[in-house]
Amino acid sequence: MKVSYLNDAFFSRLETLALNLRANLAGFFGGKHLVKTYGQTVEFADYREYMLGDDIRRIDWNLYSRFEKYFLKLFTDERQMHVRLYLDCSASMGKEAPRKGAYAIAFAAALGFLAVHNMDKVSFKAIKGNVCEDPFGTIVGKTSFFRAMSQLENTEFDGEADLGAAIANSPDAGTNDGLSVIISDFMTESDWKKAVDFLTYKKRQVLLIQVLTPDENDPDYDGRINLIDSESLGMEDGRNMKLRITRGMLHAYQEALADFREDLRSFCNSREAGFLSTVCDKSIERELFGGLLKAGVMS
Amino acid sequence: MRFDLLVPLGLLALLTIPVLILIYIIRPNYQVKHVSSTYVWQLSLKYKKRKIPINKLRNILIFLCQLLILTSIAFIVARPALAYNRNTDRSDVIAIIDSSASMYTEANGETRFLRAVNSVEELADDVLTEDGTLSVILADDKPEFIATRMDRTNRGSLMEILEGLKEETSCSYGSSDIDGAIGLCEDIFADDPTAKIYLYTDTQYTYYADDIITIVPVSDGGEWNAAILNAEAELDDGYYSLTVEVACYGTERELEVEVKVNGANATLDSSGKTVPLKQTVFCSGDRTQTIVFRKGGGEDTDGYSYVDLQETDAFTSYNSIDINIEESDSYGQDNSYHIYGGRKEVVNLLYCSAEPNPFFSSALDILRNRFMGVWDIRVTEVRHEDRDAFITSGYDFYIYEDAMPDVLPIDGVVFLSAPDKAPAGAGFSVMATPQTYTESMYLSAEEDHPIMSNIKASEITVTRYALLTLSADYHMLMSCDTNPLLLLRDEGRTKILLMPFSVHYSNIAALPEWYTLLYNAMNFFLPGTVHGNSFEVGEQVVASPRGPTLKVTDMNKNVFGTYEREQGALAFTVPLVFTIPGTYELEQTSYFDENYHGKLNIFVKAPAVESNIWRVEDVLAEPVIEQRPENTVNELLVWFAVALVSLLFIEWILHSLENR
Repeated sequence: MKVSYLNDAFFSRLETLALNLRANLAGFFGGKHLVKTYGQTVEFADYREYMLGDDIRRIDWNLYSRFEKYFLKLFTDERQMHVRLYLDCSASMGKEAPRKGAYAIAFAAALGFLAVHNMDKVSFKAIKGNVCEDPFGTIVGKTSFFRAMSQLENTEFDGEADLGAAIANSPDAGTNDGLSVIISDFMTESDWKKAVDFLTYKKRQVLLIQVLTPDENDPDYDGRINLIDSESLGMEDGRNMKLRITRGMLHAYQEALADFREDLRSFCNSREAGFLSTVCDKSIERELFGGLLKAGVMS
Repeated sequence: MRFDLLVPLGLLALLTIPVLILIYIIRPNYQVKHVSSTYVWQLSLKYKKRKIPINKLRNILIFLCQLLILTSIAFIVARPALAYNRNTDRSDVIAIIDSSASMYTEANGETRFLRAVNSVEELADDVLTEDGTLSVILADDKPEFIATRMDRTNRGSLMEILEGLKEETSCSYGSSDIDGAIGLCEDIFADDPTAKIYLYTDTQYTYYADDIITIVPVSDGGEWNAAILNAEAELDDGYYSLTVEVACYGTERELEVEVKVNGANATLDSSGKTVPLKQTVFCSGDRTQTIVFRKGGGEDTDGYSYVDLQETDAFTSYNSIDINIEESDSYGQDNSYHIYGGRKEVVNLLYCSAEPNPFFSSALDILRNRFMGVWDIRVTEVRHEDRDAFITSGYDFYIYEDAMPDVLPIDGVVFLSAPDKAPAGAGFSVMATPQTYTESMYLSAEEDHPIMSNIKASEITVTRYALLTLSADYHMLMSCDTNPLLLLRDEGRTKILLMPFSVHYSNIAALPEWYTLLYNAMNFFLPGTVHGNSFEVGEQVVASPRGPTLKVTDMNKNVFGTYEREQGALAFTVPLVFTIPGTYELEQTSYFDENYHGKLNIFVKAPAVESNIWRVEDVLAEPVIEQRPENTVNELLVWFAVALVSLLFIEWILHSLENR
């Protein structure tokens, strides 16, 4: 059954929010994000002495009358950023749990909406195998965004995804021009850390969002279970497991999951990347307004 | 008693076991569950791995529990029981043959014992013919099975055993423990509560369980017995008086008792004379008649007959006394009696002291009287100042007080009291300064030794004693302040009792311990060998030889036993139990004289109670039989139910552990 979070009410609640990106990003002219460089806005930033070649229209004559020296009045700059949203489209994200996939899509859509709402550019990158597909190109403006959204909902989750290889080989990863968000469950043997390192190297602001199903967060199995991995190629696949699930086993699972999350979090902290782990039975608004605000990505 | 199933078809429930195994085989092993990813599950295995072996063991235990539960249910359905039933085709019969001395009673050339054995043979024929089993118990003082549950297949062996009983010495000369034999039968009654006992005896019982026990009398109506029950010689006013108890059972009769006193009034020059004595007494009603031969006679009373011994017949010592009844009765074991020990050996005792000491003198007087029945103790008291030299030979017991001889006597026991110096070869030396105290010091016992018997060391005090340095192996029997105050050396012919304090510096002479100490010393070094000179068959006789060896022979010079003192043993005692009546000779050596071979005789007789060949007892013991009707069962349902509940509980516990 198809699950969708995307509707007018959902987007209307996002209109009061904005992405809070780092100020040291370069970006492009014409956006709304304040950056460290000086520009042409009306917001005062600093003074500096006049140098040959400076526009004499920007000399502050009031200061000249006081000091008999030429000082220029500097103003802050506002830039346009390019938000790239990487969505893990492997089978683990939605083949067995459509709600998980819809939740991930909704998260991507929400972030994309916040970007276009703030005059930023948005790209949706679907990671399939070791390739990053860019089905909609660069989206600017809400018209283009909503047009893309109608198709984004139809994203299929199948096969495997190598986050590291796909992102590192992406021809349009961008440099120092905005936020990169990776939405996945990160339950993969592939080296996702390589992707984070690559994006950090490209001076991108990075955010990792881990989406889990309730069963993955707190499994309630009992007895002898043959666990079939959604990415497995058959019953004999090594990823499938036969387990006698006991209370001890569930306890071990919780320990393993907690360590896994802690590993993600500590790695992100070491790379100054943001991290949010969410479960798809939680309210998406609560996660957006709570989780991302807490992570400092949203304001 | 055997394990049985009342409803054997219930075991068909065991067919559920293959069903259980089938369920284990075909049950869906694993429920398929599709999940997004097993990545975290793979990680979780690292946290769980160490518990896997326990899981496997638990699984096996659960399976075993389930198997046992099904087995228990199957047995419960089959109604398990312990069945107590006897094989009705076979009957257990127990024959008890009385093997007491009275079974030697003979009539028509056949003893009662032989009659009993012949009867058992007939019983065996009957029982084995009816396909039963026969057990035979020979009931002497220690009854035992000589044949156990013999059936027709063992007929030859059984008859051989019974034939062996016809030999002359098969019957004992002692008493029989019939009650013990009945007790032995309980083993057979445990298997067969309907077994029967046949008791072949000459004793009549007033009350007995006639439904279980059949008494087969083996007496013959014409049997009678004239018996000498007991006899003893006692010193009375310097002369021996002889008391003889006689009785006649089975008839009334005048018995002529003939006595022969051998070696009467012997002196150093003559070996004495033989004094013949004779007395006729009428015996009836199984009553005991007592004949007293004594100088001066006495007034005859009911049951007592006195014979006045004239001056020529009175005797002050004797070698032996033979008592006989010349009657052709049915039981010949009690027609003669012998008394020995009428001549005491002389013990020469030397008491040597510087001054008269009444404590020693009075104690020696008491000692002499106490051992009058065993020894003729002759005390020689000397003052060493009166003589040129100490006497150190020619005595059996030496007591030196205060002043010590230069050399130690080697032909007797030496008691040294308050020595001023050590005789050569004594193995100690005396220090110049004695230990003195202003207050009395109490002694303490050091070693559990026969010489310390009945002596409370803690009652004895001293105020002064000599300090010794020991160079030989002495036993310290008493001490004060860790210093020895009573020492014993018992090595070969060296027998020393050393008391390094004077009775004048101690309270010992005022205590019974003083006499007890001398008595114990005398009894330990010069024991009386045996107490008494006539004993009954089966009675334990404790012999205390005076030397290192003892040899016992019977009247036919056959050696009964030879005994030697063990190296390092504190004392030398020999327990003897005789099974055949008669006179035995005890020959012993001495520690002090290699050529000494002291001999004494003792008389062993059949128990006096066996003389009553028509004895009647009140009650015969009954075997303890668990009263259980035939072919009953004791159902074990409760026990199997308990086992089932326990197994269910264990399985529940294992299951709950499985889900942890």
